[in-house]
Amino acid sequence: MNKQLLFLLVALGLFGSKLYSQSGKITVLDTVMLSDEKLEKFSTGQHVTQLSDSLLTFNNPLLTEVLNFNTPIYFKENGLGMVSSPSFRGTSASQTAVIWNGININSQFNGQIDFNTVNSGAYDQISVRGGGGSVVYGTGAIGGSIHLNNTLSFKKQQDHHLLLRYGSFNTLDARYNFKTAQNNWSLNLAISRNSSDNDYDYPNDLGKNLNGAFYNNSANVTLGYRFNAKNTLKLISELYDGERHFSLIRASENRTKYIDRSYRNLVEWNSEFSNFTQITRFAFIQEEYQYYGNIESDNFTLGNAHSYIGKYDLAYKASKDILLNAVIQNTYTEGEGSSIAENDRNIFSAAILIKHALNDKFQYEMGLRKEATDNYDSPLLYSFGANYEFSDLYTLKFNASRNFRVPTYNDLYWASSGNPDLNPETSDQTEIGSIFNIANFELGLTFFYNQVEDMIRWLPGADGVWRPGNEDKVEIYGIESYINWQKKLTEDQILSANFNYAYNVSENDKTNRQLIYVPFHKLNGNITYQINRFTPSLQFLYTGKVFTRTDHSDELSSYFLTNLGLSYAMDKQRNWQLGVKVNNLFNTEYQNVENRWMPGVNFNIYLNFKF
Amino acid sequence: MKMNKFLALGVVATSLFFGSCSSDDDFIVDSSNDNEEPTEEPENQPYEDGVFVLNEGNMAAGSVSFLNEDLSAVENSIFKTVNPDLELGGYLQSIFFDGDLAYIISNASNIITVVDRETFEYKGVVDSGLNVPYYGVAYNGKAYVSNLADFNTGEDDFIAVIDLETLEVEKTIVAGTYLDDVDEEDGLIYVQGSSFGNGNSIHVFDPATNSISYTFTTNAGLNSFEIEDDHLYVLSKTQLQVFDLNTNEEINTINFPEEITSAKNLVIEDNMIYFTVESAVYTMAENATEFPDASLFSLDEVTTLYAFDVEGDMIWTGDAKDYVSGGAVRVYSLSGDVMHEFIVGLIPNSFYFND
Repeated sequence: MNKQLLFLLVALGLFGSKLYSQSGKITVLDTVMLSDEKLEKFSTGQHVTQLSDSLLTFNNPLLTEVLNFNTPIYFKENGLGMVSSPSFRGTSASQTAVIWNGININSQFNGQIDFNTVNSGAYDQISVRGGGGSVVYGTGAIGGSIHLNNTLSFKKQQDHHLLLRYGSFNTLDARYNFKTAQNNWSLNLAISRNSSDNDYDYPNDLGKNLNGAFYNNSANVTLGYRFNAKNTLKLISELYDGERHFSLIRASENRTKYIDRSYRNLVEWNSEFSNFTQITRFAFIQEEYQYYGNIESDNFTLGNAHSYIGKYDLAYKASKDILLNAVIQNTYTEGEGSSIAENDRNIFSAAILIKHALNDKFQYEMGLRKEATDNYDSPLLYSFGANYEFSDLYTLKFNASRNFRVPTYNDLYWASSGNPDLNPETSDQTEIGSIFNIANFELGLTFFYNQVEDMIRWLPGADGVWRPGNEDKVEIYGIESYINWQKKLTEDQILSANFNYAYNVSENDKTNRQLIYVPFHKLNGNITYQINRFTPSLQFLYTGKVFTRTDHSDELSSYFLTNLGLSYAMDKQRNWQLGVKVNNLFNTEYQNVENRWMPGVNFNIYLNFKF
Repeated sequence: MKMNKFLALGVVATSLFFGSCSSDDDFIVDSSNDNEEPTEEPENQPYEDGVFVLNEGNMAAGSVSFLNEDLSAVENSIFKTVNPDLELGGYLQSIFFDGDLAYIISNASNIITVVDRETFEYKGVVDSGLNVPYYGVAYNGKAYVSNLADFNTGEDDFIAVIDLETLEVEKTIVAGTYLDDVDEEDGLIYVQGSSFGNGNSIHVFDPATNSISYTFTTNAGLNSFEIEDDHLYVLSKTQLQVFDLNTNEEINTINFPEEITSAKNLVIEDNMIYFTVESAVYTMAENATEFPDASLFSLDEVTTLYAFDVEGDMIWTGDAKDYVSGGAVRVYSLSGDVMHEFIVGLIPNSFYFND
């Protein structure tokens, strides 16, 4: 690690001196109400990427594709639209937290979110934060966190947004969003549907993707009422219903399907008095799945969990520069499944946070969290972050934290093999980030180090029964970087580009080998060139090779994908757009899981209206 | 002919590869074997003498490894080498033989691939009428294959009767219990009526009537059986039972001591009974009436015991390790010394001695 640090210091020094004395650029954000206000207030020393509307509409709506092309996160996708799990900064599938309007929604059963069961059309804002976040967001925020947000604005408005996309394999993507606000009421409604026959041909005449059809529908209502300038009540309600047939490798296999349903509700009362802001929240989250091992039979296995969450958040602005914040939360969960007897668990947590801006250039924050539950031994979690803006050109960031992932229902309660004595996985991590701004150019460079202990893994015991244990220790380090650049060439020509590159080393402590399904390298980017009413765009993705065996005896090759798009604005305000897109332009053969070939070249057209 | 040339090329390429990295050349294929005169019987077929290791693999693929006769070398993925454009399927469960042919069962892909047992050349496939096939046996031109169907219930498990000429499933018989291992003795098919330790019966299936003619009721937790000299030996987690096949009477019962709760892997070899309890190997005489005082030895080198067999004076083990790395085959002497060790494919689950 010393070499790594040395390299880091040298790199910082070089960039620091080279980029000195040029002028910067300020990004202006819209002011909207966000339930996940912690993301803005308590991300000191970390990097948050917000995916723009244009990026969200350029890709198919499943979260896997959106994030795969626009963030450094790697996905192990079991065929297009099938089960998909992330590896964020070299961590495992359950070490990325998904936060829905401030509430952690990782599955109670396996601790993960299947990223192909999230339709990005249901949200107004999707943000990604790299690095630890358990103090604020709880379990699983180790590699990073994904934030799915619905916003609310009381500015008088009445806006409709409709996106209709149709493409190869009978794939439909329809999203409708309606926002209105009047007097003290505000409504934000989002409905989306995505469906596909998903019966693409495999490359090299290897056959066809059989039994891969899927659909999902989601509906989201956000309703707000403002009593007065200091009191607001908000309700967010979301329904997701999806069914996927799991694609086959060979035609003779049994055909299976999987049904996911989730129901998420949040009531939030936001109130301000003197220097205090208090937010009281109640949430009800339900997740449900059914797996049909053979679609010709009515037999299925299932899982069903409900969580009731109460949360009280009190912030105190001690002075212009100091913000103190205390959050207490109680989560009560009931769950059962085909192999899990009905079990409930209660987790109480308390966190305190402080943020201090010492001057215009230097700010830092600290946080502590502790949980109380009889389910597992809860470690004390902490975070510390600092930003120092040396000049308009250069900002240095630092963050260190201790994070965790708690044992899941499967780990604890699986019939005759659950292990009630499991400890949470813990992660101690630190990162140093640099942001360079020169005119229209922004470069971010983050070096991170993460040590994960007590990783939970299922292994067969001497009696042949599989049981989970706190087995592995993993050492992770790497680089996360991005470049954003935009240039207005003439009055009606704008060229913009963004790139992400990630390097991840993620080694098992015992074998000193890279974890399976974690690529060393990942690179992606988008280049768009707006010429008058036409906007051609290019999107690319490079995923390095991944090992599929822990002894590195087998691997999947790296691949490079290119997508090409062209949109045309039918009116001057760009409210009516027509677009076409070619995915996998060069018909690259690739797979993310052994024998799970992904589609070759395919097409779609779309209409994007705002009125 | 085109295909033959292609196969020959594959075999030659492989032999070159293995030749260049192995100190022992005994097992290398003589490329002249794959000549274009099929009438001429070659002297030495590549897989005529030796041991097949079936590697269960994953959903994507399983494989077969071959150990040569003097156990000096291993060749992995032999099917892929001989038949580069074909696949055996996912989760390979078992192999059964009939004359010159070997039948390789893939439970995830519902296929049984037929190969020549000496060359491993593809001969055909059964690819319909199966539903999670597990074990099979050939008798009188037919194969009898147990199928698990839905894993969550034993009610739909069935025996598929396959015509070995047409490779078509011609009849299926629902047994009413979980099914597993299959064996043939004196023209009757014996089918284990338990799976993953659920079940307590052995069915006797009569090919003459295509029906179950008798069912032995055994101790609960049944996990393996063997037939030797008109005797049916049945092992459950806590008991060994012996039935006389002439009278169907239970003639011997050995209740294991209280601390023995997970006996499995029954093998009978040279009039001795072998089985494992966790990582310990136990042995006793075929006619023993008492549980042995002590284990034979402990398989300390094995992380995850997944395959167990005894052949002559050698005890064979397959180590699945962490299930996501190449497995290990270790051959022990009867006194517990590791005589040979090979790295094979993913999750080695059984051995077949070709001689």
